[in-house]
Amino acid sequence: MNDTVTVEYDPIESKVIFRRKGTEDTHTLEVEVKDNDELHLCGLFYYNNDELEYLGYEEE
Amino acid sequence: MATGHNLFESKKEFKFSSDLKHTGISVVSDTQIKSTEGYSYRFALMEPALQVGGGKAVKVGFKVKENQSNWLAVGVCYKNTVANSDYNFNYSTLGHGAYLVSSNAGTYRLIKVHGLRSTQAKTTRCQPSTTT
Repeated sequence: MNDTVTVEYDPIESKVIFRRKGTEDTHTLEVEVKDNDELHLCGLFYYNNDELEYLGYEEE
Repeated sequence: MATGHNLFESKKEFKFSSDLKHTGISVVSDTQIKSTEGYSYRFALMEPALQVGGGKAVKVGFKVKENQSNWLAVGVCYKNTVANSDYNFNYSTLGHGAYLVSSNAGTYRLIKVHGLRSTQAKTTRCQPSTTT
């Protein structure tokens, strides 16, 4: 709880990079481009009463 | 748009959508969501959509406010693909177009579900875990 995770989307390389603040954890996934759909930031829950906060963004 | 280099200096640009989400998720504010049901995977999307196929990279931050059950995930997903599944997510269902990292009791795993593949991979820098 109270972990902060950054999600970085690179539209040129078409990949998403995850970093966990305060750690060395870095994870990268290549994103397949779909011309007929829109890519959105998202959260995914499984259990009840969990909460997620969006902290802000940085454009690079 | 943020103009500086200090991450999280602006809460503008993206916000949680009150429409693009599962009914079992409540939008507490533009920047905060809460799960109101349990024991099924449920998506909540942010707006606007990310710019694909060019443009500038975007980095955003999420804070896990409450996670007593020790599982949730953040990342990116394709709107139509997820909406066509009523914002549900099922590991055994193909074609859900989502690229996520899941928090599992302090361990972080990658989740990639797209097209004909559904994979999970744990990087070497994660702590060991037996559940997802």
